Amino acid sequence: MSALLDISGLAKHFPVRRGAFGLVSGHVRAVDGVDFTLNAGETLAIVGESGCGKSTVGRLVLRLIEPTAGQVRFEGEDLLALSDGAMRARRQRMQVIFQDPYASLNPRMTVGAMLGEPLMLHGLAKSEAARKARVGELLDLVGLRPDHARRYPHEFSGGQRQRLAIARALAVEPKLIVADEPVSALDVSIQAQVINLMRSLQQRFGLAYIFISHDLAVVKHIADRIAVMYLGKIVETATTDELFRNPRHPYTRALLAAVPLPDPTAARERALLEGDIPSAMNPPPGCRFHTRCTFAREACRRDEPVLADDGRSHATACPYWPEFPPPAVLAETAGQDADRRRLARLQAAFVTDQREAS
Amino acid sequence: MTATALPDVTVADATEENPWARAWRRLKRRKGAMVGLVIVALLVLVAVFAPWVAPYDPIATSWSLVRKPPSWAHWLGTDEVGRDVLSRIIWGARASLSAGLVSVGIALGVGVPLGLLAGYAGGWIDSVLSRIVDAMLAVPFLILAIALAAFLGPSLTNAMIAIGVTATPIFVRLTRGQTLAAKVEDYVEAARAVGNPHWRIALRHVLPNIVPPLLVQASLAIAGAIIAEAALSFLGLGQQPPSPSWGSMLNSAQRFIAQAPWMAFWPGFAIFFAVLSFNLLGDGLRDALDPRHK
Repeated sequence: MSALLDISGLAKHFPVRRGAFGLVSGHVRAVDGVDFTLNAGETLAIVGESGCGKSTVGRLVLRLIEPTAGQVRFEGEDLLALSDGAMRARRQRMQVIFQDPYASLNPRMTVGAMLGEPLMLHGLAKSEAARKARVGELLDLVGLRPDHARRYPHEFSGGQRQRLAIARALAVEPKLIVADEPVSALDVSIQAQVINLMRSLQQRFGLAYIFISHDLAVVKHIADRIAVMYLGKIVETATTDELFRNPRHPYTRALLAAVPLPDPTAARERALLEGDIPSAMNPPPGCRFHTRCTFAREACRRDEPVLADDGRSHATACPYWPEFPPPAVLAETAGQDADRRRLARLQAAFVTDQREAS
Repeated sequence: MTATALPDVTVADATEENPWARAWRRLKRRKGAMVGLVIVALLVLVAVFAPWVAPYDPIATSWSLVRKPPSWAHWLGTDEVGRDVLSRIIWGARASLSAGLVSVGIALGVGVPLGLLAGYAGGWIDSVLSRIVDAMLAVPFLILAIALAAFLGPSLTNAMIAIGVTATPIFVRLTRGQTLAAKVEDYVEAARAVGNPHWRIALRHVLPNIVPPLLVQASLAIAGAIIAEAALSFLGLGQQPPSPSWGSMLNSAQRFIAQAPWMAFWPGFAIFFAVLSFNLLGDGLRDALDPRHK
């Protein structure tokens, strides 16, 4: 079976214009050569710091912005070759959920109109009555009531609005949903609710997710596989368990070391990451991470590493990883209560988030 | 790894009112705006029911009543051919208000679609439209209106067209700016992701969200259009005699300013009040519709 989604060499360089005549003075290389595949029903998480290009990848996959280079194959079809009209029809198969549920719902449209629109556009409800029924069904699906269809978005809370955004994405019965930080803007207590909703919907409808996030604690809860991005490139991909147990790339290790643990006495790696992410307008030569890497050596400034697969679907864009000292205890022991521990860590991460936020 | 049971969700019932109800509530708190709204409503009623409200025929002349000062029979006096000034003011409200509404209607009808197109499409369409708008805005409003009205020929209809065309660039520019701001909103991108064609995104998702500033500008533009109509009529390019208009009344009054000052005072007062009330209403609307105001 071929993959649902096959991305290769995907790149997006945004031109930077300066001066009175709008001359292009450089390019922001937001995404610079990204490859991955996604199978039906699978969840791939893309993680990284802000500015690493993860949201741009999501928009490129959906062709909400046009890539500079690369290929997007969806169900074997080259999306970038499609005309405007054909692409619009394909949008029935792929949907999006945005980060901020306060910005992603049209404030002047009722919930019913918002959910009915995709049905109308793709001819999924023949009559007014059928459309109404389907809207009610969708609201029910995300845990809201059918009579909420008459309301406007501002009458709902953040978590409810994100449920509405999910309902809108589900309206067309897509195969793929790109979720761009879908819980980052939500209250801690609501985050778990929305994640659980997304998981149950995935099981029910066989959805594939691209889950974009900066929060490893959340990602661990939902992803099958994780791709770690740094400055427009993927530096490591592996299954979720493997990545948390054996992080190889120094950047991945630094990210994992930054995840708060519920147990203050637990041994762990010291924070390995210092400074800011360099400008994507002028990325460092060689390995892009060498300016912040504790293990950087001379060759790193020169040679650009390739994302090398180890044959067991764990790919790392660092040729020196076998030489690094083993990471401190990051993975939890497998066993009966692994899920509970995971949840505890998730909650601990949430609590920290909340404290930072206030 | 499943979580099938969804936690129950309770939606607070009607936590907030809808945006228009909120704007209305806030408008009601503003005294100036309410005064403006009441006067505007009164003017509209007077203009619509002019045949019943006016005590005399506005164009009936009488040689026995030339330039009589205000009296119980003629509350605001009479003019140089014995016509009742109050009746002419009342009928003149028709010319002024229809000039205000029709010309701003033209400006909205032409300006908003063009601005939406320029802002949404961008690229060369935007460049061309924006340069034309800049060129038109470089000419003072009244000068351009006078030139156009003179070119079209003197009549109230042509004056309205001239004022409407002259007021259009403001609306193009405003709509374009608002569209540029709205089209990068997440909900517009979401509309695209759902599979909306561009025209539908522009009309259903962008336009409804930029109505408030357009409404404010329209109410202020009506005030400007009323002044422009008065100015054109004063110059003989608007309402033609003997039909009454506040501007043409001022024009004929200027020759008798010493002997019959009431002839000049009342139309001037009417213009002043109409313009003031539309401005008050526009300012109030701006505050009431601006979500940043509390």
